[in-house]
Amino acid sequence: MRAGTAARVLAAVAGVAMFAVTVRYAVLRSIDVRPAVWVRWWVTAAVVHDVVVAPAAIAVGWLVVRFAPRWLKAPLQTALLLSAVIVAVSWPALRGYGRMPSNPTYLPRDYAGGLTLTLAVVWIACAGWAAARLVRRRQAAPLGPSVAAAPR
Amino acid sequence: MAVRLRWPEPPPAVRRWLPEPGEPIAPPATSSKLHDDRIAARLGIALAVTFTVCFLTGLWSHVQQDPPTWLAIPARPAGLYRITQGVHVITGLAAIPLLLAKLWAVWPRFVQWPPFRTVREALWRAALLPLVGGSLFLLGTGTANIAGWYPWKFDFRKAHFAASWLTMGGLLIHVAAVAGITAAALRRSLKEDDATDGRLSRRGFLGVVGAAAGVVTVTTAGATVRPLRALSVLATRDPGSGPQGVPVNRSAADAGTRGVDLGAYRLRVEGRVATPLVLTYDEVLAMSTRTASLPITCVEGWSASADWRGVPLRDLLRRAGAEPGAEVVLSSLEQRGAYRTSKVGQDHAADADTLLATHLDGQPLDPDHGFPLRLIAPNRPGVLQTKWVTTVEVR
Ligand code: HEM
Repeated sequence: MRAGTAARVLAAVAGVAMFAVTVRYAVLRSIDVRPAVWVRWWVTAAVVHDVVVAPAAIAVGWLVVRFAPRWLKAPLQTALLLSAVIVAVSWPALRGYGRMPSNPTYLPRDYAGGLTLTLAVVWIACAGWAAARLVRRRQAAPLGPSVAAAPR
Repeated sequence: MAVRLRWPEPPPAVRRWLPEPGEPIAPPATSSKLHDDRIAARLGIALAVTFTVCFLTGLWSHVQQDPPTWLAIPARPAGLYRITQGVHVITGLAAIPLLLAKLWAVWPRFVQWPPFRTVREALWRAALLPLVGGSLFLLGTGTANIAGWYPWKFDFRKAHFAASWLTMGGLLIHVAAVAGITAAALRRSLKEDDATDGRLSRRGFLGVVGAAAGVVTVTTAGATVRPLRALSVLATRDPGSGPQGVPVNRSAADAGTRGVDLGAYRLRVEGRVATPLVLTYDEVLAMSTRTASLPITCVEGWSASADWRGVPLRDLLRRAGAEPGAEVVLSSLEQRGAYRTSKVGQDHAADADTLLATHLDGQPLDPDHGFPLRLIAPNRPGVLQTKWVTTVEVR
């Protein structure tokens, strides 16, 4: 345990030292880093995420768990999670913000098509999974859904 | 340190929705099984690994462009930078679902009551702001950068570098603070007290997060991993597209180097040399050439291999009578631009495959690839593979 404590103290001290490196670099290269602008960007990112994005995701997840039928819950959670991530990652390409008429090798693909295709694969796979869960549930409960056993 | 702070007690209707320090992350009023330290610990470890990989490969990329005096960048292995920078971008993109899932899982702690009880708790929780802000900044600016999108007023590379130190510093403090909880959480079974009403189990949730990382990788990594090209429908670059089948970062139109007048064009080798050279394009073509198969690797993570033919830089230096081991600076015809000139270190200048290339896959260079002459060297970021080269200055 003593060695563990020492390692933790060391890690924390190293972390503070890295903050010092950050400040030094940001000040020395302030023409490029623009520290005031830079800080505003990452603080805004944290606040927007914690105040808007995460609560919204939690609310959607809560709705699914609360209202979706049992057989649909996990597949729907999965499809929504994957979709959110895929849309977030492909957003700049999809909107084409960085498109340059003078250089068509930036964003050379059809991203609306690519996104549609990717999401279609996700939703079809999850729909198949949900259907399989529904069928299994029906088989396990010939008397009807109200007395069905839990899927899986 | 042992000072206990007193906090007001919120009304019970609110209180039951807020987790308490030391109690489970999911507040008593919720039925969630996923807002859980077992999830937080596992995703945390995955983040520590991915962020460390990104940090190390990022530092490597940084020193190529701002080399410290004590470090000589090697020219070999030729494909090293292609691998390190490919890994950097692929790992960073794969970390996006890991980060979002982790922050989602621990989010109730954001409204924890009381926020902290001791000075030590206050300090490590304060370090979460640079950690969370820095992580989102790194992944967000990286994702925008590879799409050529710069919606901010700072220099991307330097701001991203600063954020990487900030984030890794925050990560070390965080690990120091949660090491004990993490170790305990890893010892407990994921299955214990899990959901049974058809929603994702803890294991299922972690699996889906992993699947999200997988989908992100497959749909984007083809920018550098050629076999994945057909599947990478969301990749912002495509290694087979562009003039002569090779992508371009700075076009001749943007650099103002379209339609170079070959009659007026000269390649100069000058500076600390015995015999300065002034060569026409035809004189360069008449020199003995070499063909090298080398990747062009962008700092933005894409790469494409090609056969380049041209005059080895070291032959030119020898002909001009430069001292071996001299530092070389190349300049472009381009008038403006951050990468108008580049330094060629000793190891690269001495390498047989460091070429002033005239041909790409057997054809004269396209203007976008640097016609009439460009540098192509092993293990070197694309921004330093200077195009439209007109002077070789020996220092
Ligand atoms: C980019 C990397 C990481 C980020 C952004 C991050 C972020 C966070 C945040 C915001 C919290 C909530 C803390 C609070 O408000 O009290 C948290 C909790 C936690 N983190 Fe991390 N973390 C990261 C890496 C790690 C690593 C490397 C580990 C393990 C070695 C880890 C293990 C944990 C654990 C176990 C908790 C739960 C603590 C509890 O039960 O409240 N995290 N993390």
